[in-house]
Amino acid sequence: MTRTITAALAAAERDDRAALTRLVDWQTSMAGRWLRAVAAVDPQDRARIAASGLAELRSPASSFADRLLDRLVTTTSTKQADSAATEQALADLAVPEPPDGLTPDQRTTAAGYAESVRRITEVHVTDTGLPLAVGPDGRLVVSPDWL
Amino acid sequence: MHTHDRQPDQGPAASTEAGRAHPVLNLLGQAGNRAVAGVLSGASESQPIQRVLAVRREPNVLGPVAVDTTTTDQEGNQTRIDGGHEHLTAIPASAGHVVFSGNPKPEALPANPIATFNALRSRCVAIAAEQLVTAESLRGDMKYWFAKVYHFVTKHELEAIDAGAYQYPLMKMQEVISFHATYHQNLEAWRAGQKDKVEGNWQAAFAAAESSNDGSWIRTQAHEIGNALLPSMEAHIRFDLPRAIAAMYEQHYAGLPNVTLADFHEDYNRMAPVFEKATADLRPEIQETATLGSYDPMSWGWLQDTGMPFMFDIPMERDHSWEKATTIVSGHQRGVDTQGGMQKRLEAYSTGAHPFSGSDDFDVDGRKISDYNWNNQPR
Repeated sequence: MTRTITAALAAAERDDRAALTRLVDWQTSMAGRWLRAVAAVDPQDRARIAASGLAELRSPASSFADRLLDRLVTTTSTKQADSAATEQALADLAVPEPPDGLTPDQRTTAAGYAESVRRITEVHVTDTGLPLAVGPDGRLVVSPDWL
Repeated sequence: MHTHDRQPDQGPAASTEAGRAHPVLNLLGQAGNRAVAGVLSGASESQPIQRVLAVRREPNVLGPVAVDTTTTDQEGNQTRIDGGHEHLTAIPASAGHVVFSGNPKPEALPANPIATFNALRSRCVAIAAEQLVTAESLRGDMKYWFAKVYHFVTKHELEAIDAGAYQYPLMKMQEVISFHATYHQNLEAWRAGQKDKVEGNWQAAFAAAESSNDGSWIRTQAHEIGNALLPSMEAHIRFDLPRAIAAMYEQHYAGLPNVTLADFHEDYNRMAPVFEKATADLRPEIQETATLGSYDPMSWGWLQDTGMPFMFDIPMERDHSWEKATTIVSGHQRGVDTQGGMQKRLEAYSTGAHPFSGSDDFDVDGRKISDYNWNNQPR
C-alpha cells in the first residue's frame, strides 16, 4: 500500500474531509468526464462552457470528497489491482482529444490532463472494490464514476 | 403526465386605431398565426403571417412589398406584430399602477400591457390563495411544509411585483402561473393515487416527504422537516423552474425583435428577498412545531444557520437552473426536441460547466431523474 493510500484511509477514519481532499488530484480525476461532456456541447458554446468548468476543476472543494470518504471509511485493506482492473481504471480516467471549439489555452490544459493520466502507473483496489489510482505526483486519482 | 406542444401566444385581443378589435388580431389571439394565415389566404398553415398580410396590400411597384403591422392597442399604445407576438413599439408614457423597474424593452411588452398585467395579477392572487388552501389541507402530512413555503413565495413575489421590483413583471407572473400549474397537477395526481401521472421529480419528492411522516407530525423534529422540504425544493428548482422559464419565454417572447431570454435574467436574480421573506414567514411555525412537546437537539436554528445552506445552496442551484433554461431554449432553436436529446444536452452542459457542483443537478432525494419532459409543460 502506498503512503498516499495509507494517509487517505487514516483521514477517512478520522472523518477528516479536508485532509482527504488534499490527497486527491481532483483535476486529473475529473478531466476525462469533463472533457467528454464538453465535446457533447454545441461547438459554438464549448469555449464558454469549458472556461466555467476549468474554473471549477481548479477549485479543491468537491462534494465528491464526501462520497470518497464514505467509501474509504468502510475499507480495511487494499491490494494492487490486476492487469484487467488496471486497464479498466485507466480507460475510465482517459482524457479524450480536445474537441473543436476550445481556445488554445484550453486545449493545452486538456493535453496536460491527458498526460497526467498516461503517467499513472499504479492502480490499487480496496477490499470494497473501489479502484484507487496514484498519479505522477503521488496524489490519488479517483474517477467520479467509481464513487 | 400528459403534455402539449408549445402553443402560440394567446394575449388579449388587439384593436385597430379606432379602438375596435381587429378581426385578424382577434383571431391571432384566439387561434394563433397559422389559423390567421389560413383564413386570410387559404394558404398553407406554415405560411408566415407577415407574408399573408403583405399579399393583401396594394402592390408596391418600386420594389418588394413592405410589411407594416403597426396598429394601436386599446390603451393607446402603438404596437407591431413580430414573430407571432403583438408588442409595443415604445414604453407607455403612463402605465397606471403597473410599475416597471429600470428600462424595459418595449418589444418585450404586449399590447394592452395594463390589462394584461391586471389579468395575470388576478390569476396570481387566486393562485396564492389556492396554495394556502392546499397547504392547510395537507396539515398532518409532511408535504405541508413545502406547500406552505411555496404559498409564502408566491405571496412575496406578488408584493415584489406591486413594489416595482422587476423590469418585466408580466414574465414573472407568467412563470408563477406556469410552475404553479405543474406543482398543482402533480400534487393532485399523487393525492388521487394516480402516481403514473406524476412526473418523476415529484414522485421522488412526495415519496421522500411521506417517508418522513410517521403519523406523529406534530412532534416532528426540525431535521425531519428539513428532510421533507429538501426533495421538494430540488424538484421545484432543479426541474420545474427552468422548464417554466424556458416555456414562458418561448410562448410569449421568442421571436420578438431585440428580445432574448437574457433580458429576463436580471429579474431572476432579484428574487433573493422573496425567498428570505418566505423563509422568515415559515420559521416561527417550524420552530414551534420542532420544539413542541420535548427537547429537540436538532433545533430549527441549527438547521437554519448551518444545515440548509450546507444541504442546499439556493443561489447556486438557481444559477444552475437559469443555465438549464437557456440550454433548453438554445436546444429548441437548434432542433433538439426529444426528451432523451434534451436530457443528454442538459447533462453535457451541466458537467461541462460545473464538473463538481453540478453533480446533483438532476437528482431529487439522491435519485437521478432522467425522464423529465424538459420540452413541454404538463397539460
